[in-house]
Amino acid sequence: MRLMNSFLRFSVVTAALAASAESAYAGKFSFPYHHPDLEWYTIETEHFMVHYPISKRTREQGNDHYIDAEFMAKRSAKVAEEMWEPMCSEFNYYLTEKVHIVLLDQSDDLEGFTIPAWNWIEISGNPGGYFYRMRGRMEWFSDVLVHEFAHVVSLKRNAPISEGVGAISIGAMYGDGIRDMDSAAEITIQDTDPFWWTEGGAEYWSDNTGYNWWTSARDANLRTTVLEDRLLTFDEWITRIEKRDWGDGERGYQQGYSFALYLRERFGDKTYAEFSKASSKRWRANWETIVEAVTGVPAKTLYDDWAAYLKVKYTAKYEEIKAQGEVTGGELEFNTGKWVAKTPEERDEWLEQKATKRKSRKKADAEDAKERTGTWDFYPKSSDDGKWIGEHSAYGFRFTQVPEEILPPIAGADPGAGTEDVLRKAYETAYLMPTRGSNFGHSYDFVPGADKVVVSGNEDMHKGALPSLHFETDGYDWGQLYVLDLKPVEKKRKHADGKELYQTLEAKTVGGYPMDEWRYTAIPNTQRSADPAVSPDGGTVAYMEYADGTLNLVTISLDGSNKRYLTNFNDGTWLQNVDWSPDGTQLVFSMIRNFRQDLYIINADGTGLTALNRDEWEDQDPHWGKDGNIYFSSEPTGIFNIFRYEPATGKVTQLTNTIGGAECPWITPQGNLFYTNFTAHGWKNYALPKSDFLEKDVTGLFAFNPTAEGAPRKFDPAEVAADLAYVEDLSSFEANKEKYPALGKWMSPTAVPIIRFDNDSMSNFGLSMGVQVYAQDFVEDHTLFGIAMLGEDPYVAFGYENHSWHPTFRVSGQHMEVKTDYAFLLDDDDDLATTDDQSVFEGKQNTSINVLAGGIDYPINHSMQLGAYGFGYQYAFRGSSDKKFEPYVQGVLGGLNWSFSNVGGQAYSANPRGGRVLSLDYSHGFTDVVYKAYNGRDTDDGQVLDKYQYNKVEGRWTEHIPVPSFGIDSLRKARHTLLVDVQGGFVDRNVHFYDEFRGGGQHPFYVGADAILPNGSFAGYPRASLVGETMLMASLAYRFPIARQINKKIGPLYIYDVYAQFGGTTGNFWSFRAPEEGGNSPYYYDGSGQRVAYDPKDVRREIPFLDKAYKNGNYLVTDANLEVRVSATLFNAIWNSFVRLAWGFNEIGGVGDVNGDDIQDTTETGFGNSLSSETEKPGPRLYIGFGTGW
Amino acid sequence: MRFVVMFATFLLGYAQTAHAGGGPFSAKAMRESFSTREVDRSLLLPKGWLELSLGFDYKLGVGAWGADGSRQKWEDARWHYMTERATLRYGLGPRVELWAEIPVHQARLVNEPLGTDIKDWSMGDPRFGAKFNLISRDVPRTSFVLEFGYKGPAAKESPANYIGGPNNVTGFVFTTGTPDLSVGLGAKQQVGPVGFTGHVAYVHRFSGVVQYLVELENNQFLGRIKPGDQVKADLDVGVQLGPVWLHTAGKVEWRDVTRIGTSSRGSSPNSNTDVVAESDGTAFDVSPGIVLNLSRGVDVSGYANIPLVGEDLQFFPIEDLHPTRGPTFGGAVELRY
Repeated sequence: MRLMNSFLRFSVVTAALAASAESAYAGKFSFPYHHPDLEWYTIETEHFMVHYPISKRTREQGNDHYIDAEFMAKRSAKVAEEMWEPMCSEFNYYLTEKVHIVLLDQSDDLEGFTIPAWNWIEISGNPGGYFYRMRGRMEWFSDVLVHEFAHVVSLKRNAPISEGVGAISIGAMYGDGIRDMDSAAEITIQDTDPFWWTEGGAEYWSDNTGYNWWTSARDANLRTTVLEDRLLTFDEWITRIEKRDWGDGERGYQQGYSFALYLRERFGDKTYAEFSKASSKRWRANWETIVEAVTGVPAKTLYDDWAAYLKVKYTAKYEEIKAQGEVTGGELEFNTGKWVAKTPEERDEWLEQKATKRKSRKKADAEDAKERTGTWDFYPKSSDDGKWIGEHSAYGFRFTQVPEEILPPIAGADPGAGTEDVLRKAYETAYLMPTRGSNFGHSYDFVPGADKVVVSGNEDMHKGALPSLHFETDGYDWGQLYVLDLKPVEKKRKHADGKELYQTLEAKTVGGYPMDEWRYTAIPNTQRSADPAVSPDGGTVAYMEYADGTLNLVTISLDGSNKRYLTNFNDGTWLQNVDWSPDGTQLVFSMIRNFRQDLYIINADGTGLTALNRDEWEDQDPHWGKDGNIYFSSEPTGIFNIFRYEPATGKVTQLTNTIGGAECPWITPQGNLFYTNFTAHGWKNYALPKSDFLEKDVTGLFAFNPTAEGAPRKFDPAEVAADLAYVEDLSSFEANKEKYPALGKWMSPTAVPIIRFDNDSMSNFGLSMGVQVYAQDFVEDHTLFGIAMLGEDPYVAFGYENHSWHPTFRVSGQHMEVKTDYAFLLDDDDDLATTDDQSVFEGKQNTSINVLAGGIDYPINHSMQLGAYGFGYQYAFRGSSDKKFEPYVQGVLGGLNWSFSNVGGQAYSANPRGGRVLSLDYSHGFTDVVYKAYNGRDTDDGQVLDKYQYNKVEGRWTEHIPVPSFGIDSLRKARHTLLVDVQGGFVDRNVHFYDEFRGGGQHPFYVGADAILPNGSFAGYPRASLVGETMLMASLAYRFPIARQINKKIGPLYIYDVYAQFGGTTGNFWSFRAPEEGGNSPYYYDGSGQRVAYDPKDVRREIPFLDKAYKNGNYLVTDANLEVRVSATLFNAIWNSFVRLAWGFNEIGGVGDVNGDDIQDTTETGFGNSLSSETEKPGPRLYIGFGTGW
Repeated sequence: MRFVVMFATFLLGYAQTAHAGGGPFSAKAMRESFSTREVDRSLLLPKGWLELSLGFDYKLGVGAWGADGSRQKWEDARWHYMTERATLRYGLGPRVELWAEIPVHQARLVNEPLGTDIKDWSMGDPRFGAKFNLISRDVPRTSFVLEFGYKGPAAKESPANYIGGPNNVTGFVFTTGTPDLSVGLGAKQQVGPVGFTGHVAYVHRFSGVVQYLVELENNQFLGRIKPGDQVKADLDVGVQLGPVWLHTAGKVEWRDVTRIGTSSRGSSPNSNTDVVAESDGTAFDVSPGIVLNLSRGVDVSGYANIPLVGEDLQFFPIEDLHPTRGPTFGGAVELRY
């Protein structure tokens, strides 16, 4: 669950508006697709409004994506009302406004976030499988709701800045055209609450108010973190951005939670809440100073005390485990890297061999190496015949053929000659099926007697050979079961050392979807499915199916027929991991219901639902072994371990004894144990030979067999029956249900005050202040935003987007008035060498710009988008002799654009590690020059222009390419990246200056930060100094780290990484040109001294590369640049900074004040001539941006 | 009259719905306390409150101040000035308030014997700034604040057709065309139902090229002006009688000389400018007023401004719109959310 930084959203809106009608698709907070097939309803309670969807068409009407989230809504409403008073009481801060909860059931992805100032919480109904492994046994609605509501109350209470304001944006740019230097800084002032307090606090307050508790899963996280020396440092746990490796995000939650529990013991249970009260009194650059203000002890001292306390506590625990005999086996890793440990002692040795210094590069590299083999590895299994071994590994499901007896943990210290080659072959010939989103964390099962496996996949996996080209017409990509054909395919080639090298049979992917379509077949009628288990006869699949916050047990034939619901819960009951009895007559699974988590069995025909056990532990991951015993994971000692329950005797035996956490047990045909072990570097799959089993009788810890004679613990079957029969009364919420209005229920608008300084001309002070306002309705059908800036150059803009149908519709408008002064150099003898006769005279102009735009965006799929847009505009001037603005040029333009991107989420990255952005834009425009003083015409490139139409095409290809490491580890770790960026554009006729392409140095202060679409093209030349109707330019850059993972906080500044990049651009902007002087084409000189063709056909288009562009005087323009990027945060807001030194190799001419000294030299060209006498000499240009991005 | 009736209807509607919690948007309620009575209020708007003030003032100019402070009366010329202004204040935090103001001006010059009747209008110069709480006590109210303000010269500064002299003027200039930056202090002390409020501020007026100054060498380029810096101070005394706040203020202003000329190259562009003789001066006005505190969300106010002493104030406080001599009458409604 994350707390959205609302200011990021505003920045996107600003950038989108600035880009006018060609703006990027804004999308919504959670989904890229709209769902007009859903009707929204609202349940209103005393303190909440719960909004939830129901499909307009029923299943009977052929809707195969039917949604009805009414149970979730009622349950959420009940939980929300129950928690409201205790949570507000925690802070003595009682909300008077209603909080809106939006239930998302369109996707199978976990989602949960809030924007407190908007009184808005969004949660998904389906949290997926792995959430429970991170947090332990949880009742999803109460857990996520209380967590998010804790954010709402705590952050409102905490806010030193009024909640109507998302942040304050302060920016300044000083453009020095004489020294060729653009320097800018941007600072965002916002609430500075730290990661550990915000998220750890939300967990703690959920605990403190009785809805949450410190589970064994949380303890495993913190315990392994402490023992493996991976605690987030005092600096690291301040900010949530760019945590440096796996698990750091979750560590922030659990460390913050643990710290709260520590402070509760030391200072009282209201300590965390008191921090918020102190914060609200005044804004602090360093929020942590509050800790000392409240407790009297500096925050760093408390952190050190707490860390020392944990070290003692968990070291003692580990010593206890070791005294009992640590039993873990070894990691199930075919890729036998040096670090792979076969025994706990080896693992400790590996950890010890890392440098003892916490932040050493060596240690970080070693940790990286360990995590590269997988961090979310689950479900190690083998086929019944022992032929196949599978796992959910680093990048998806991995299946390979390898005898289990040669696996390192099983084989022991002497695996035998040739084993290494066999393992390598097994690794390299494994079939890898990428997983994504909704099937993440879900399981698979082998089909007995066949080289097949049933996996949890996604609906959209089958959308053709090029999935990125498929049209996403419904906006759904639910989980679905597939039968995967494990045909062995083997390609050999010789390794450099003479050994055979095998090609990994990794599924080719485009946009994250596997392409090897022929390998898998969807099982119909299995949408929203998870955790399949195939019956011993290979004909039936049992799995869990999600609907309305509930998982039920279902069986179905492999061809999709004979679907049968074995359970019919509709009350939030959550079933987990099913397995068949060896004879195929019964199934065992884990059930999370009413805050309990026990094992149940049921007959294959759906009868006889019975509790296998009933105790206070979290019992999960049952596996019914071929030996008739049931293996499962549980935590009676506070640590998850693997246990064996023998139905015949009632005996329960502990098999593992780990300091991490053992889950997902699987007994191999040879009786060895595969399981998943939690470590500080992820969930890892392990193997434990049967000879090493702990074999400790722990029958007394569990309550199995209620009726067995002599069982040490029993339970009452009547309790189970009553529990299963219990129906929560939610009827009182039925009466409060109403349809969500078409025009929406709107959140209170949020504003961002903006202060800007920008010296846009000699005497324009350039200071302006304004506000950006954003509002939307709660289900995101409508969004409104507006900007108003006051100062010498007032600016107002508005925008509206509608998301209630498949495409996004948007309209926007802008009005801007700009006062600019300019100067002319008058030289009586037209000889710049003699300065006595030179005078500088000034003018001032008031320009008005109006734009009205509209557009439609349609997301084709996750990667591609189509758009159509149109806008009308008018430029007008008011000079000294004008009483009002006189229109100068006006026009309309309509166009289509297409874009592809697979690099989402890297816009703020200092080093995007791979990805591609493609865009193509076509537009048709009409322009009318209307300036009365020029008789409604103007001259450009030797042609008089009045009214004209034109076509314009523009394309761009940007590629971030990780530099190949050729297997050399040091190169791979170096993270070098190559950037290729090619842009081209063509206008089919001579057009006015306003309609031409422009190029030159870009500062992110003006155009927005974007690591994906770089701003470095032609940085060696002044902004917009290159102009023409034909544009071609190519950029190449090489990027590499100078210092990574610095993770150092200096006051309110937190620094992550420093990268450098060098590169350059070549290309040009070609134009049309007037008839040659003395040539055959007739021409005349206008009042400004420009040659004008009598016949417009005599205005010739310049041919790229063959013609020298007459405006800038070059065939090709080339530059080079060197850039240093620093990724950082300031006041907990992103504060990425850069310095770019560029060198333009060509002397260029151009239009207006080419050399940027604010004085236009007209000694040769005369007033009014669009070309200047000035040139910009070859030389350096410097760009500096503090907090502007790059 | 029609204007007044519509205004009153709107006001009544707002007062009824201000706290009903209805409307198209979810209300925000997490705001600091705010008194209904003027006398109890801080000089800073409390955290979370947004105030929109819609005001107007009107002045009939019948004369001017001479450079020596003498009162000059026009025989036939009459200047009519009307300004509507929208002012936004926002309590950003416990110690900070942001504010911004946009005026719109109308001006009309009538001289019947000469057949002159010229009308013009423009958005005025927007102003914005921030106030910071230095000292604040609740009962009795003591408030001491630091104030910053900026004026952006966005208003119309082109005199339209200037060729041929002022008799051919078709439009008016509504701004100096240059920015101002001010820093000041404000203080308020409550004594029972009586409140004393005072402000003092220094206003630095930057120089700039402006459209209404023409150099005389080529007659087509523009000149530079540096309006004189100002010091402003006022003292206001008021008494709270139930929902009525009666008050009167004395305002004094000192102004430095103005300079004009052409720009010079380099980092000191004012080197070529010269002092305009007798362009400095002082002024003193009194301003009685009344405020009706209808609720925490609504105030209605009215005031008059009477210039008692002045010196040639028609020289470039154009954006203040009252270069002429004569009383000003105005009012405002303040709506808070």
